[in-house]
Amino acid sequence: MSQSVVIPLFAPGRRRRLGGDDLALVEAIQSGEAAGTAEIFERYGAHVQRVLANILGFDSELPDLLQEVFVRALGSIHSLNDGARLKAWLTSIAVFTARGCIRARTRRRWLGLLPPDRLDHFSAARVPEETREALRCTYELLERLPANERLAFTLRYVSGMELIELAQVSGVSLATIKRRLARARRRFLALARLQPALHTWLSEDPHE
Amino acid sequence: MSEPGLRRLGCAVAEAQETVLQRHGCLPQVRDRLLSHPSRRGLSPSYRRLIHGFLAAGAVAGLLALVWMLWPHHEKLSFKVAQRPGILGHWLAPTGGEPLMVAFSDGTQVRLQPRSGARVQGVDQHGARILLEHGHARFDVVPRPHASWVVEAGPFRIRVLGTCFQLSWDPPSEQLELRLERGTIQLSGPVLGSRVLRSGESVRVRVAEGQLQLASGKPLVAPERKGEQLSPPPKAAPPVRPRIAPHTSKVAARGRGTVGLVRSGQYRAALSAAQRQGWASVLRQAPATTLQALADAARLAGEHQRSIVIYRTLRRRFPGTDPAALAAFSLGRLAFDQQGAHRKAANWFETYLEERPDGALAREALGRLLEARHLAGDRTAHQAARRYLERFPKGPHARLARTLAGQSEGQP
Repeated sequence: MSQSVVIPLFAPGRRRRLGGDDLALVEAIQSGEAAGTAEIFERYGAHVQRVLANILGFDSELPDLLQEVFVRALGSIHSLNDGARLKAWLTSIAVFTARGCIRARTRRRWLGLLPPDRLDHFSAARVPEETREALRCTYELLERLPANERLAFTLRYVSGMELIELAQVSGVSLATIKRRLARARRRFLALARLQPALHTWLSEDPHE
Repeated sequence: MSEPGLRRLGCAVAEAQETVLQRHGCLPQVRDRLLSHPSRRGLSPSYRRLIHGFLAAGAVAGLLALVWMLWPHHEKLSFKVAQRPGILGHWLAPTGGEPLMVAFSDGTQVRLQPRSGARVQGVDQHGARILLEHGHARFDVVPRPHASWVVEAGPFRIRVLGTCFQLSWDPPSEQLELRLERGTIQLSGPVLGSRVLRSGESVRVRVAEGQLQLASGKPLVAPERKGEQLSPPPKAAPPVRPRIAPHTSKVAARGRGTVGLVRSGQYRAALSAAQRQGWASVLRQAPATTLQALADAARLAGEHQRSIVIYRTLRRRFPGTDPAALAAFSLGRLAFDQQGAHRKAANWFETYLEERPDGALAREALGRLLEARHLAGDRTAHQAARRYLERFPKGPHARLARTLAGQSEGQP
């Protein structure tokens, strides 16, 4: 089960930025260029973090999951044939990592183990109370959706992905992702009717 | 609630998260992990968690295994009959002239000799209850703490703690012989009351004649507690005769005529003697004890039809006597064991009980009666079961009786 990853190292004092596009970056990493690790994280660390946070919300496992996505990516970068698809490829790894995390949490719930700590940075970031409550309710409802439906729902409505991109990063066909999304939407809306905090957001007229 | 509403909500969530990520994101922390701590990069966090989980599970499993090993086990003993799993209450009888081995899971062995019959009536974690219906068996009980083995033979009951002994029981003549090779047992029953026997002692009890013979220089030991006496002797026990030899061959040597031959185990010789005299003459003229001995000899020699003829003759010529009642019991047993005629067997056991309701074989007869009626599909089996439980609530057929009595609950 152990995953042996060889990551090019470099001394922090001798870091240098790699120039060029993703294709060049991938080739550099595949050829053992030491600066590749820092560069790929600089370019896509924030994106992957955002995808993970969109899917899972904020909790204490987010740093571990972010690290895991890059460990996996760097460990299997030699399987990436088209360097121009680096961002989509990383997104896909992030999606599958998040799905594994959701399933592991479900198993832990069955075993009666405590979920990871939810982090409430929203008050410190001065996010309005109304939005904070909607966010809390949203992730509470998402916890009750199957993993694949939760992925489809969050990537579509929170991350704002188009259906084709969504299908690609989920590794399924367009028809499948449409069906998943329809099921997730139906299930989420049914649950949301019982949450007064979401009524304002989901009503036809937001000003009514 | 609709698609635009979901988009609005999603946008609000994304914007809030973006705000927080800019302030409280974990990018610097993860970057440091990836670039500055090579030893922590080899395995991803999820794999580390998995390994930690396996280690924890292994520790828990090890702890459970340790507890399991140290925990006192209270599993029931099991037993095998001729290498096959044994079944409680089943009839055990050697075939083909070879002894039948009953082996228990604790190492205890019972060697059932040819022309013998027995049943394992019950087992628990401490031992078993074995019924020797007739014949001869050798018991080698493994000594264990809290071991509790009970062997029953007719009206006798033997409590065993780890020991080795040989036991014979002949229901028609109501004779029990026990030879204790080592250990200690408590023998209870008619004539002798309740006595503790020590290593090397042998005992023979003839219930009908009220005789108790000790085959050792050591005196019989009085029961440790009077409360343990299982059944009081029906007659005053005659004084022990310490000069009687312990071995069967010496007893046989003193036997006289047909009865002596049978009692010494020389069944064929007894039958040959009767043959020489002429069966017609013997059946017409022989006294009850001789007929009883010859019938027993024929039964034990496997000549079942001849034994049936002799038993019936005995009942016709000496009605109302003890030998006639015993003949009824023997006829029932032959019908049950040899012919599988359970209805006929039930009638004979009922006859014995009518003639000797408190006879030495009353418990066996009543037990066999309910078993025979049950096997014959007789709907009155539950009545016999209730009779049995009223008289012998702890008898060897009590389990079957309770089952039958319980099944009849609610029936008209």
